[in-house]
Amino acid sequence: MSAVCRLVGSSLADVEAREQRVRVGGMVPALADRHMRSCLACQAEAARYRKLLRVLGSLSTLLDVAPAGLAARIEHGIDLAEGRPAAVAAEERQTASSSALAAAAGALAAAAGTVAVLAWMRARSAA
Amino acid sequence: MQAGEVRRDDGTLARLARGGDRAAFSELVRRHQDEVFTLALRLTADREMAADVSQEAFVRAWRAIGRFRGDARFMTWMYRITVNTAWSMRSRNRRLRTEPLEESAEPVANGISPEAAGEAAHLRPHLIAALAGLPPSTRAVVVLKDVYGWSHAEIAEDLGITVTAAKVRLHRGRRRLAEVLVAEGGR
Repeated sequence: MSAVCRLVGSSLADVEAREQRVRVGGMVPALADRHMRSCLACQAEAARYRKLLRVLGSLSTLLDVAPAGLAARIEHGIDLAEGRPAAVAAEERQTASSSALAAAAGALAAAAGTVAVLAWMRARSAA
Repeated sequence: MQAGEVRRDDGTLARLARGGDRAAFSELVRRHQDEVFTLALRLTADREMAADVSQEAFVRAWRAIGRFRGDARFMTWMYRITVNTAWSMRSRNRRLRTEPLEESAEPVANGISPEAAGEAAHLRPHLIAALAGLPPSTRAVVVLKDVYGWSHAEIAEDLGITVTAAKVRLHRGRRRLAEVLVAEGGR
């Protein structure tokens, strides 16, 4: 391996992901380009770094699934940070969801009642 | 989310959360916990630690939501909080491990070409193990620059180091990882 190869090899680790041209510190760019075109070892090294950057970049598209219960842990952490005892906060959440459920059930019952009354009125007027 | 319910975007949820709407913030937590956990995992290389970091990051975000101005994406803001949290928790308890990461859940591919997916599938486990073996400060720079595309200036600011230090760590980290590619036949 020549001194130029070592210089190029060292600069490859600094290359930007979208960069086509290797900037070699202390070398005239045209000389570095000419070396890259003729040196198979440096071309292989450059290909290796491009692959490294490609695979590292691909990690950004892979999601690791958070452990089950993390969202609940986070809610608990926020409750604690707000100074609310966990049991009280959990009860509030439970109450809130029960209230929502009760409201929904109430609305359903009211709708059913309305339908029944309308049906009774229709039957009565028909009679 | 119930069928027929309109999905609100992150900006809307963040605005509601800023006004104290805890349910809106909880929706953001449910929606983005995997992304935050993934970043935390890449930074810490430890699932337990990553869960701790994710929890703390969301707690900090809730406390600071009043200062979220909405001129950046919610997740951009959240990522910065996650990095800061991982970094400060690391300094606090030094629990970061350096042994290879044992993954208990298979990562989910998200919009990657089949060709790249094949290449990544072969090299990813080796690369993730090699990342886990890097010194934490080097790993953080490599992950933020090469996985998440941050600039050196952003990395330096968030990790509290100079731009030169960020560049030096990136150089060292990449050289080390390139050696792993050679060892695994990824030339």
